[in-house]
Amino acid sequence: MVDMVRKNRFLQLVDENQDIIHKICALYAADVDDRRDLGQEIICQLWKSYQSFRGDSKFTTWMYRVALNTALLSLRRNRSRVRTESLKAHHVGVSAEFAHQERRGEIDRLYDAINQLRKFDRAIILLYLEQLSYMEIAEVIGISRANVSVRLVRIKKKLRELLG
Amino acid sequence: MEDNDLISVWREGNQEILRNRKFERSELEVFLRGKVKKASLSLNLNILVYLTVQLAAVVLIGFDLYGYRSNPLMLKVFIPMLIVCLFFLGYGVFLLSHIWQISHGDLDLVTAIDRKLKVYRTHYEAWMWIGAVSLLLLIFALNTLVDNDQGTYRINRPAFFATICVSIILFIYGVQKAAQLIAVREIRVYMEDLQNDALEKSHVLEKSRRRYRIMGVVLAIVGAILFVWGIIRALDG
Repeated sequence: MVDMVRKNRFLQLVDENQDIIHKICALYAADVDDRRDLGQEIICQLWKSYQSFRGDSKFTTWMYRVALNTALLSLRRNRSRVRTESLKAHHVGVSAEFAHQERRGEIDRLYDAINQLRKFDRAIILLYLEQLSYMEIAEVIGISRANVSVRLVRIKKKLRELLG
Repeated sequence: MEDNDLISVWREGNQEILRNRKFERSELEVFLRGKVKKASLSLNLNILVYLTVQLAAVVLIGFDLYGYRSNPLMLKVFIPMLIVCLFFLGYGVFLLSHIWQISHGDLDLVTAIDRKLKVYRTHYEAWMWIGAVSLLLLIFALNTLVDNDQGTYRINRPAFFATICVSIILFIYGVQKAAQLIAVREIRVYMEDLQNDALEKSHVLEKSRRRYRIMGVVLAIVGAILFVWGIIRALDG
C-alpha cells in the first residue's frame, strides 16, 4: 500500500516535470527512437533513485541531476549514433509550423550553437537557460559555485562566437 | 545576443518541441516496468558472467568432492578451491551491489563519474584477476570430473600443466585489461572535460575509438585464422 502511494506520488511528480526529460533527451539523443529510449532509461533510473530521495534538494534539481547523469553516462553506448546535428534535426521537424520565420532562424542558430558545445558544457548551459541558480547548477554538476560562474562565462562567450 | 535573449529564444524553441512530446501517464507506468538499464552494461555483464563461472565451479567442485571422497590428496586440493570460489562469489556480489549503489544513488555528475573510475581502478582490477583464476578453477574442476579414474587424477606433465594454467590466467586477464583500459580512458576524458577547461578531448577520443574498432576487427580475424589453422593441424596430426 505504501509502495503504491509512493509510486503514484513519483508518477505524478515525473508527469508534472517531464519537460526536463524531453529537453535532456533532445540535447543528448540523435533521433526519435533514441530519444524515446533515453527517456525511458531516465524514467527507470529516476524511479530506482527515488527510493533514496529524501527531499534534501528540490525535486526538479534532483531530477536534473539524475537525468543528466543517466544521459551522460549512457552516451558511450550510443556514441556511434549521436551526431552533432541531432538537436537541429529534432527542432526542424516542428519549427516548420512557426509563423515568425525570423524567430525560427534565431532558434535554429541557438540550437546549432549548443550542439557544437562539449557534452558537459551542454549540460551546464541547459541548466543556465532553464534558469537554475548557480548554486543549483553547482549541486547538479558537482562543481563549486565559483567554478560554475567561470565556466558559464566561457560557455556563453563560446556560444556568442558560434552565433556570430 | 544578450543573456535574456538567449533564454527567451531557448524557451520559445522548447515550447514547440514539448508541445508534441508528452509521455502519457500510462506510458510512464510501462516505462517503470521495463528493464532498460543499459549504462555500465558491459561492466555488470562481465561480473555476472564470471559469477556464473564461479557458481558452475562451485557445483563441479561439489561433484568432485564426492567423486574423490576417498582420495585425501585431492580433498586437500578441492576444499581450498571451494573456499576460494565461495570467496570470489561473495566478492562478485559485493562488487555488483557497490556498482548498483553508484548507478542508483543520488550523486552529482562529478561524484558519480569519480566513483565509477575508482571502481575501475581498484575493485575491478582485482576482479579481472579473480575472473581469470575462476575460469581456470572451472576448467580444472571440469577436467578432474571428466578424468576421474576411480578416485584418482593424474597430471602427466606437471610443468606443461603449470605453463598452460599460467597462460590461461594471463590471457584472460589480458583480454579483460584491454577492454578495461578503453572504458577507463573514455570515462577519464569525460571527467577531465568536466573538471578542467581543456578543450576538444572528447573529440580526440571519438577519433581514436574508430582506430580501436579497426584494430579489434583485425585481431579477431587473425585470431579466427589461427584457430582454424590450429584445428586443421590437430586433425592432420
